[in-house]
Amino acid sequence: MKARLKRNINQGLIYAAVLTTLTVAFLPIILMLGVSLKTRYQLIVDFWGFPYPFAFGNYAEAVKGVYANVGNSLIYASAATVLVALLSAMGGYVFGVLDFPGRNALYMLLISFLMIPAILILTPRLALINSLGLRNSPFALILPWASGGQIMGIMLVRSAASGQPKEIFESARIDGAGEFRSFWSISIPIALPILTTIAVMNFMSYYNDYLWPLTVISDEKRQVATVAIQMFQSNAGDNGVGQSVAAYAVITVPLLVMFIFSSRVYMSGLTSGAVKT
Amino acid sequence: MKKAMLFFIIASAFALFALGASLAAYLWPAGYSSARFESGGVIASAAFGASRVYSTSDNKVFCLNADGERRWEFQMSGSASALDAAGGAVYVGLGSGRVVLISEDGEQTGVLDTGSPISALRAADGLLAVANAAPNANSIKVYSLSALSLLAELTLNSAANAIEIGGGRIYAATRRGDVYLVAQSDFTMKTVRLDGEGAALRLFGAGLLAADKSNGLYYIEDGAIALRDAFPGDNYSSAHIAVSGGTAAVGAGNALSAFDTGLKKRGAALRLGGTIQAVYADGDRITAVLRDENATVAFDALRSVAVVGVFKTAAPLSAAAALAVSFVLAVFAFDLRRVKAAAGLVYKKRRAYIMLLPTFALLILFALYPAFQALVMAFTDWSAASRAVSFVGLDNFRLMVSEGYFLIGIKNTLLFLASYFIKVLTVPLGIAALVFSLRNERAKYWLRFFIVLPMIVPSIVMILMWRNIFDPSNGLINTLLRGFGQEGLTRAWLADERTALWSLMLVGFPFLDAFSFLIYYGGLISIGGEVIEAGRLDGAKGLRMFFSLYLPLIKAQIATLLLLGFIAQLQDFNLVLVLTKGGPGTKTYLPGYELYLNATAFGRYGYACALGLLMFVAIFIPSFISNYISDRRGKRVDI
Repeated sequence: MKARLKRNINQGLIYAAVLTTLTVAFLPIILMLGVSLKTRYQLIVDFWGFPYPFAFGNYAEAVKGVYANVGNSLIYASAATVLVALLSAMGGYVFGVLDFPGRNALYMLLISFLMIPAILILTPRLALINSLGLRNSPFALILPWASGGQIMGIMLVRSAASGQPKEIFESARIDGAGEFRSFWSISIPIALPILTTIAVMNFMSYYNDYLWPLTVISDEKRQVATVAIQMFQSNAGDNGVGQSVAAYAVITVPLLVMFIFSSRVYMSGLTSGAVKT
Repeated sequence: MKKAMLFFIIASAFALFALGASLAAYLWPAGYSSARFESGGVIASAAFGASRVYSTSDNKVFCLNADGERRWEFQMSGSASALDAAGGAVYVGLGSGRVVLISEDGEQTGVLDTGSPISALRAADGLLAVANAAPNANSIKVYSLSALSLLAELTLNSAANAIEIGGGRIYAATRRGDVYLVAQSDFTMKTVRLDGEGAALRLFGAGLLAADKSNGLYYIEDGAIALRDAFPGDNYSSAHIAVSGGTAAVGAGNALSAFDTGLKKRGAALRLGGTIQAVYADGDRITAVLRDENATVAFDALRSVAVVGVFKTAAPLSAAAALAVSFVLAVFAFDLRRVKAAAGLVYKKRRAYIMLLPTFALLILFALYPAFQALVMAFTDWSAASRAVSFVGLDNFRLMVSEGYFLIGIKNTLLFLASYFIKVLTVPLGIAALVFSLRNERAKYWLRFFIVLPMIVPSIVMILMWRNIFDPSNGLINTLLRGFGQEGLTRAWLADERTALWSLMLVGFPFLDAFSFLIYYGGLISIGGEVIEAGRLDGAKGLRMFFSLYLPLIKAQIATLLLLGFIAQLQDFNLVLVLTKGGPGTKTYLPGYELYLNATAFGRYGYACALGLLMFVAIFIPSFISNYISDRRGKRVDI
């Protein structure tokens, strides 16, 4: 009885510690929601108060200010994500299922690309984008984004595909299916769960990217959401703190929606393949 | 197998190095040279047979041959605002309103007084057209070249910046943005409107090319604008046009671009090392005269560049092609024994290669090629402003020490690294162990859910929220301090020298990083119930369980996080970029931020590459050692 009580107290303490930490970790987010619903006057006079009456006008202004940029972000990130998922699926299938001369050498080469850190190639990439005349073009984002994500993707799809019995592909071949056909109708469905993970991971990092769009896109109309909120903020000025913070919340919405539909991926998928012992 | 692998790595390293070197050699632009002598900035210039004549701001007129050597110079009595050459004579228009005629040998042969200050002139088709700019009377006077007799005086709405003669017409572009089209036969006038102030005019194909000072380019045909486009250049800088065959070169600011008759750009614009003062084209070469840093023209800045379109786009594309070819060769060199037997097989399996092609094309163009460029260019003076690149040895690395920003950056990076290690080894690990030791599965799930949830907030939003928290006037921290009556403790946290660095480290408090948490939690899950049960039977619990059981069993996860964190911390500078810009002063500089500034604002590409190379080495060595160690232990941490 006493041991049980002690255990319960222990568990209670654990809950208390975890929940306290969690609450503090959520403070910036709570603050974001609070400030975004307050007017300038409310912020000065009653910083700690509940943001009532809600200043929904902030959100109206924020949406008006950044919706086009959120659209840009979604389009660019989706294009790069689709490209990476497709290339991962193809590459994983080729390396995992097919046998062809130079396979191991090519795979080694592919893996070795992982050693190139972003900071090393930042400058030449910038010069390359300039000399190709891609500055301010969506391709200045999509192409570099899609040059890297597929390495991890290919590794993951490869291990998923090579785990499949070869007989499936053999019998497909006997039934007259070509390489492309068996890729589309067998490999893609098999790799779909891992492809979802790859897609979600990559989409999130593209949508989050700040530095590269800041560097290669200067046209406000073509700018992505993460950079646009700062421009919106400088336009709104000091009196527009509520509006600026509302814009932060607005650009978070697409990722929130994605999370709702794929929380499984976040809670397990992100770590799968990251560590193997 | 191991030997083969080693051979492959060494062979490909050699092949790639050779490739990088040849690539660098390929990218070297054609050199230029000529006797150097200096003068004032070029005001106007014109082709004079095979020579060029320039009027400069120190009231001189120079005649240089095609190699840039001086044939003669002529001292004028006042500043020459316009000049042109035709039929063995140079016509120099002065601010005083006079036109001075100079012969081929540099002797003055005559003077013509036009009455008011001259803003532009052009001699061609047996006509001399002079634009006069006076406060209330802007006009063009047309003379016959042979007798210098006045044929007509035409009134304009504003001063003309450029005049062109040809195709039976005289053209003038004015400051108000009108282009006048004047028939040579009866001097009847027509106007076409540009968007900005007229800057340059040149006959092009069957029509006329006009540039305005708002970077607008117009193709005028049959008295109307047929096509329009934009050219790069600093806004409102004067534009210069040169035409050769079907190519027009437009120089403005330090950008030189080429267009075909459909106004299609031929390749990307070249950024030259100085402001363009004049542009010539003959054959497929374009010459740009640049103003150097001292605002005087060094005539060795006469720089020949091939037609922009061919020169510029060819480099990356053929480099990529060369890379692809040698890459295929390297692959086959490795599998030499199989090549003969495999030749047929390769064709049979061609679909495999086709499916890999896009991936490798992208990776080679946007990762491998830039990586090698960075390795080579780190030892050069490559810059955004100049196309001429030369090796400078270790100068860039010396610069890191002498300028000092990089050294400050290293010190700060070490501090950030230390704080990262402390953060990642405490809160996420502790919380992961605590959540793991809970008994209620539902509670565990929901706690994990909420710990992971903040991951969806874009990192930039989090950083901006922390800026809000640090805000001196109505940020959370200062409001809190005021609430407790501690007005004296409030400060501008990010702008105060004593607190800026520590404030940056505080960002993200309480450091419950979702990614680290998930890695730790995944490691704990994989320990397995039996091991934990065995530990419990041995009487382990609480902290002892954590230190003697959990911790040793998730060593691989810890090592991975430390390595990943190390790699990320060395490169990431978003925090500094958004919150402090390296300030106050140089207090929060980071090497990555210094690299970014040099690659963007300063345009010192070579130096930025050198910084990148050093950081690459710093990242590579620990990664290599850690992989080596885990390989030897039979454990591998894939990152």
